[in-house]
Amino acid sequence: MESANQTARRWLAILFVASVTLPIATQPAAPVRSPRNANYTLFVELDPETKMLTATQRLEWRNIRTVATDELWFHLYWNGWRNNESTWMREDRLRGRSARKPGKIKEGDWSWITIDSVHLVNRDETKTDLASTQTYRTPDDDNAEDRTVWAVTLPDPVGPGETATVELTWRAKIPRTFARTGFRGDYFFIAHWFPKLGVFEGERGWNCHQFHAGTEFFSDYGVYDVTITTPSEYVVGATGRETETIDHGDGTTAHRFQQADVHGFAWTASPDYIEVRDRFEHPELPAVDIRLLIQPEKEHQTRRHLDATKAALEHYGLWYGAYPYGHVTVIDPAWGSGAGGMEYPTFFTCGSGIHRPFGGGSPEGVTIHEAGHQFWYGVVGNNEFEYAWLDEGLNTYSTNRTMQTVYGDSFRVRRFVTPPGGRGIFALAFPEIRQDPWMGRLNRYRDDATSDVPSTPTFRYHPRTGGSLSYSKTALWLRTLENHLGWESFRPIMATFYERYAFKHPTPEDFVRVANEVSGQDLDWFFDQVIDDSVAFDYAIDSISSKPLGLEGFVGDNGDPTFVDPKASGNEEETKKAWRTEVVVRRHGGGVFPVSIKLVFENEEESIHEWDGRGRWTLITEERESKLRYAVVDPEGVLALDIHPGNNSRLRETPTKKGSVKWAGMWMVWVQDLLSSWAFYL
Amino acid sequence: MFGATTAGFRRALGSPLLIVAAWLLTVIAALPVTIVVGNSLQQSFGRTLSAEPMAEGFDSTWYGEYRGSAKGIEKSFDPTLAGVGGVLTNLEGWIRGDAIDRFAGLTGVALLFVLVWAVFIGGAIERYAYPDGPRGVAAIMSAGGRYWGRFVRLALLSGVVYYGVYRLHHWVMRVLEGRLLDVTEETRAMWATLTVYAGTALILVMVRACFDYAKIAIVIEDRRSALLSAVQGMLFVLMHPFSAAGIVLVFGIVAAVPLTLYVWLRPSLITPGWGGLIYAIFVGQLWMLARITLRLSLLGAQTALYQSAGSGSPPRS
Repeated sequence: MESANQTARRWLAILFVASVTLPIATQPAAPVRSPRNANYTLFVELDPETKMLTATQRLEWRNIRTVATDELWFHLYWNGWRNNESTWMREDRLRGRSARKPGKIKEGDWSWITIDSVHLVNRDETKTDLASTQTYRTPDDDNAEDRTVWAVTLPDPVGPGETATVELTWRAKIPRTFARTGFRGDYFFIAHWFPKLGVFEGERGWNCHQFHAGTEFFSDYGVYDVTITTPSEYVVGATGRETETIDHGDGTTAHRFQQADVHGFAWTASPDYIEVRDRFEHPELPAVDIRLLIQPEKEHQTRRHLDATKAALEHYGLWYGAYPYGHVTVIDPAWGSGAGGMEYPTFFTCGSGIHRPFGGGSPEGVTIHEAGHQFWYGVVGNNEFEYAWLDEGLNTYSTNRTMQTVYGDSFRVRRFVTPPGGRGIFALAFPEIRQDPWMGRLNRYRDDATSDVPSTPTFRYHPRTGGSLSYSKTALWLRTLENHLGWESFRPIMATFYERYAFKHPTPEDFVRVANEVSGQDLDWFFDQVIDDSVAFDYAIDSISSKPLGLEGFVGDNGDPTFVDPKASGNEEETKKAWRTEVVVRRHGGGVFPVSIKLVFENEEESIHEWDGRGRWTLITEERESKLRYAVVDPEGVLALDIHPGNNSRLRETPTKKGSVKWAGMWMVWVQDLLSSWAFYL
Repeated sequence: MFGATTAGFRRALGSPLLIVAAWLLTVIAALPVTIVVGNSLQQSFGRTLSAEPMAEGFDSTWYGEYRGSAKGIEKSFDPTLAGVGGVLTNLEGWIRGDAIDRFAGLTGVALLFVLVWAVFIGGAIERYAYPDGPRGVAAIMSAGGRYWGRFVRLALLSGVVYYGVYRLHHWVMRVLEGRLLDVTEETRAMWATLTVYAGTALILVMVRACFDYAKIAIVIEDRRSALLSAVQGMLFVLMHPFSAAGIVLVFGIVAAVPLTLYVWLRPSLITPGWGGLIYAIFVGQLWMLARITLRLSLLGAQTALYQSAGSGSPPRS
């Protein structure tokens, strides 16, 4: 009698043969947008009881470089959670905020992926066993315990333009969620799950980094044809469109998804999802079918997710270029699954909670961000291992801009009722306390401003600083550049970069080149500081004063100088009709940026002074009939990177203590209440 | 029980100066740290362009930077603690036992306050036990001073018990975490958490009731042993479970009224003129007065219950 596993494998094998022999007639005809040099056909079966995936995989890889190679390097990401000494786990410990501490991870929580067979398919469809050539590689840190990069050697090199076809069978143990991936109860989120080729870069060899805690992914574009078998009651969402559904009649159903011109494939399965379909339509943009899979308890947020997705499709589309795929799947992950917000090709998660007051920025912020990744990451496919900021930063910038355009500034909330391992469930809204998203980014960036140079490969960043640099710093310097050049000049830079590098793997140099070319300016002075350096920007008004104009002391050129004393001469009142104002502006940080200094006088007159910002300080002097009221450096907030905006302005006189009285008074009520709570214990 | 409850309100409201004195105690204890924080705020934004938005509303840009560099007591400044946000934060901190951890900068002030409160509460119980007894600040201070040492010893004893309750709470939360490991619905997690919260609150309140009756026994029966008083308090609750719990329940329900009013009257954080600012502070202090009134009324009701149950020796002449 066959075991369930054997039955599944036999069935998979039949389907596998059928699929590779049948023409891809069922695949929707789509214009070829990418090189399509890494094409996958996968049959995978989910066993919810044992938390196992069993799969067969066929890969066709075409060498699009000018150099031959006789190796194929694969990522086996799930081995990153195989034991506590993988590179991912070591780095996660350095981050110091892991919820999954070694010693508390049970046997069923770890994951692994193991290759059962690997064959090269020859032109005559005969097969060459490559198992004896397989090895694990550790290109980044020589960690002998790391099994996240796996390679096979081919009998003959694959020359430029030639194709290698490889068939694999493999099994994987699904983890209890690590890094957004895994299971919780009967909810499954399956990402970076299959043996996936690295990117062959010709003379530089294979770009196939180990799995790092602080970085994401990098792959070539291709065509994915994936058939997922799950229990029939499960709702399945995945990259691409579902083109075929087969009920096997044995309690399982196969779901076939196909997608061309993407560089990855993720999927999810749960019996609880509610499916909602909608369509984005805009007169200037192609229509996009939206499929939302939402948790029943959050069904009331359906419209908010759909509206936010449409907002991203509209604004990114109008600003940079159209979303090309025609469909997108939006996933509201299960509570506690850790899936949060994450992007995958034509598919993304946007985690939230059951109580999220509208205007508080959630779930709209995360939905727009992950939908936005379909542009920056999905279409423009940079290497996230080495320069994650190129997609995370561009996308965070775009998210903030979209959020501000569509929803305005979010208000603050305070959360209560915190279940173990979760976040506060109830959100008390403070509509009067609005937060500019750029300031939110600045708060996250400030402490890490000088920690790492962004041009350092991202996987070499300190594990705790990756987020602030990739997301926040980049968003802030893009905002600075937008303010500096003006939106009308800046938008075409982004749009050109999007158009030119769609379905390609651009580098930071490509972005700089486009920025210089499109703006018509040499912006290297700026990029040298924000990409190739870790200097902080901090301009400040150091001191201000307005003193009566008039000489005091000895004057005169001929003979002995004459002593002048305005008080003694009775001209004191007269001299107070004219004032000498002095403002000292300092540059505390290493970063240099041209800034304006605005002086506002008590008679409401204003003056603007431009400073190239190069020196460590500058003195501004003015003689006027009125005393200075205040001075402010960078009054328009052009330099969004300024880490201490609080020192940018200085009032000559303290106007009122109302603000401090008010907020201290309100805080005092809380202290009184707290003291009364403490009195409970007596 | 209802007789004791109404007697409690009558006794507390019959001595309004005690309520005002208790309120003043919180003001006096909070004022020095408030001045420190107020000066810190003034120094931070007083001579910048943030001064105006902070006076009329709130400047998140300023706050982000202030919070990043805040030290000691400044760290506890958070605009979302204004109004009912602060009350709910304290309530959750009380249930979870992390109010002290979270606001460590205020621990010294809190300890000092509790020691002074120990004087006050002795005087208050004597006042409620013997409404016709001597009045005035001197009488209260004298009575408070008489029982202070015993109350402090009782507080140390109750501290051990409360510590045990919080250890139990954290253990239950850890067990709950394990039970929720495969739960995918936040709603279920919410109800489970609220159930644990309610259970912890109930235990805390009942422990507190035992120690309240212990304090009452110390005053009425002039008991000297904190331990035996605690036993007496516990026995009283065990012998009169419905009345003891009923009084707490009634006051719990009544407390919802001022809390709801506080939410309803919630002052806006946008205060263009001084009027809005004065209103905001006034409503906050009104809440404190209501809270203290309820606290003292509960104590009065418990004293009345203890006396009506015939426990303890007859009132002193």
